[in-house]
Amino acid sequence: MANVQIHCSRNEKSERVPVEQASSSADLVTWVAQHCLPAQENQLAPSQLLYYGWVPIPPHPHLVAVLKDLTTGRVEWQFAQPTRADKVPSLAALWPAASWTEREMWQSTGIEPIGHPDLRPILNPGEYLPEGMATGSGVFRFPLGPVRADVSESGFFLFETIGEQIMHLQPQLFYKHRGIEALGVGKSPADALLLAERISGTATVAHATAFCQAAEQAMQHTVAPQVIWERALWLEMERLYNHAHDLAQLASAAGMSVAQAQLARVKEELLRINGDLTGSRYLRGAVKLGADRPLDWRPLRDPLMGVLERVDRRFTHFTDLLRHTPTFVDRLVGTGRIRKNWVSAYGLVGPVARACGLAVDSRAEPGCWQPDGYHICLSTRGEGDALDRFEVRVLEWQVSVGVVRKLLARLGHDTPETKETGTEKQGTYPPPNARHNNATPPSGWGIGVVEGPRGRVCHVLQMTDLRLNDWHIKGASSWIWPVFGLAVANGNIQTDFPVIDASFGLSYAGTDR
Amino acid sequence: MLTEARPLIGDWNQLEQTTATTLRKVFHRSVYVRHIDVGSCNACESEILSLSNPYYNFHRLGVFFTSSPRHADLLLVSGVVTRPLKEVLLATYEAMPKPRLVVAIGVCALHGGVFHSSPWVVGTVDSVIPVDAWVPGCPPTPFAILQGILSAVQHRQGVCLDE
Ligand code: SF4
Repeated sequence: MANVQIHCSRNEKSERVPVEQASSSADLVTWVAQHCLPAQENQLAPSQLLYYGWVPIPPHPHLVAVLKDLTTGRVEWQFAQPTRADKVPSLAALWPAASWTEREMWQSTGIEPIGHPDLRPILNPGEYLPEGMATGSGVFRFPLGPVRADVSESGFFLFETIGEQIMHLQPQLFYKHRGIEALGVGKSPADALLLAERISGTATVAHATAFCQAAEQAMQHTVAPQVIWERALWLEMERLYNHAHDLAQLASAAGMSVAQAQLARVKEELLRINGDLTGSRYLRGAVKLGADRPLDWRPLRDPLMGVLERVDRRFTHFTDLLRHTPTFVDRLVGTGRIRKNWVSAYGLVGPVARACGLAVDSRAEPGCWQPDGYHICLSTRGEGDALDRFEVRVLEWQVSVGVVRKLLARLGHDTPETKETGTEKQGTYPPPNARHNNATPPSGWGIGVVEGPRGRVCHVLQMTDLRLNDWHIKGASSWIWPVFGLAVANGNIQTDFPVIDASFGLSYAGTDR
Repeated sequence: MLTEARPLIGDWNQLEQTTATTLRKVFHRSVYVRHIDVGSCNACESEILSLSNPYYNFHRLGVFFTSSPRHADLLLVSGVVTRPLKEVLLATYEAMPKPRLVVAIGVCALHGGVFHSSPWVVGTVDSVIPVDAWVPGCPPTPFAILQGILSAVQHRQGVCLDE
């Protein structure tokens, strides 16, 4: 796994130029807010924020924002040097979605966002327990965590209730902050890939693929189209077992133990076939940096197809039964509803956003790294409650199974072209029909965007001489967590919490990093 | 009970029998397990959770998850110990009644794995609390975790006889 060969074809002559230079950090912040807030509620914003933050690279530390235009797929970079080196205007004041990002930036780099609505430390949660927001007679504060019921990740929640009614909920994360981005700095991309795979274990492929895309772009290296198909296949396999897991947890939260057991079987079978194919049940090592050929899929195709048929039948049968079980549906309908105006205010992503009727999916966006002819039909619903999140995952399962079949048919028939040529032949790059992120980033920078099981995963990095200088990770769940608190307090009672928790299916590790 | 063939890893039947006999001897067939995550990537949790799926179904061996450390005989710890979770791990351990067993799950818990040099990490699990058994792997399979639980119980059984 560690001795990955990288063919880096750096072109010294064509030095890439930084894209646009915003005149000041105030302009930069306004520019981001203008592009990321849609004209109307519950519409897709004109652009997506891929990354916003402070880049400490000497000699010119600066603020950077990376946006992706959703109609053209163009990725735009803007840099700004603040007039006062330790203060920038707050983006969260204009767009709440940036709140946690700015709190983290403030605490880790000391850059203060002026006018931030809720500036509190975020990285050392043990020292700063959240204060209550609600006051009055009958208000009860109920702390939950960081060690919670059953087998779960560590995170803290402060409930404020009146009777059974939840008035307010504050999630507090970053208990598991391991400083992965800082650990990666100075490492070679092959070593950093090991870290990337361990950001969030159940999104191993998503993070590994996003990292590889970013690193390959920074090294100006293009991979073969078959490798892109293969990565897409692993991504779908990951989505399949995650959706099975999330639905099993949801069934268990609603007291449906038979469905839970059966969906857990689906997950286990998928993990086993993953293990058989790659040697790791969580697909560690499946995505290789700078890979020039996929596995030989011809002998692997039929076993995988067989498992897929079997689990698909079981999954469809039991989700169908669940859908026709009134006690289950009753438990879910209207539970943990996301209001329309939160969707754009918090820049939601993934199945949670699609359950609110927002057609956001990195796989379907222009300029995204995807194999030719690989169409994703967006699966959206409109109510934004736990039932819709259930339905969206069921729909996505079907889409994913279709995509895996299609990709398998292609990978299983195509003889990998580069097979005989071996690894030394660098002359075959770039392959004729590999599609790449179409914007040219500044020199040494790379960006990777991938639709993981929980939504958009984005890695931004800067490299010189095959060492990482700067690395930023934005997992899908970090966009959704602030809304989770709001949705739980949206007219629900305490016993709804497990159902809402399971229906969101968020990752702590991917947010804490 | 199982409708599918059992996994072909190791000698499952023998492990199952040894586990069942040992557990009956030491715990009278009811081992209560509490899990704590002290900075893992979530794959270890996923594998621990798999123990309760119909393929491994560790309930039939008399092992159960419990929500409260006060009811727990055995603590499964996964992940590197991060700064804020060190106190939490200690508090959880202290809350458990004696005799208590600790099984460290995954290479993170063993020696820190890829995160060992992070300034946010305070150390391995055994630098905070005594550990009875280690289960290597990233993540270890459910089968290995079950074996880890068994080793811890057997180890403690030896200690009990000595005393
Ligand atoms: S041992 Fe591996 S799987 Fe387990 S928490 Fe650590 S990185 Fe994740």
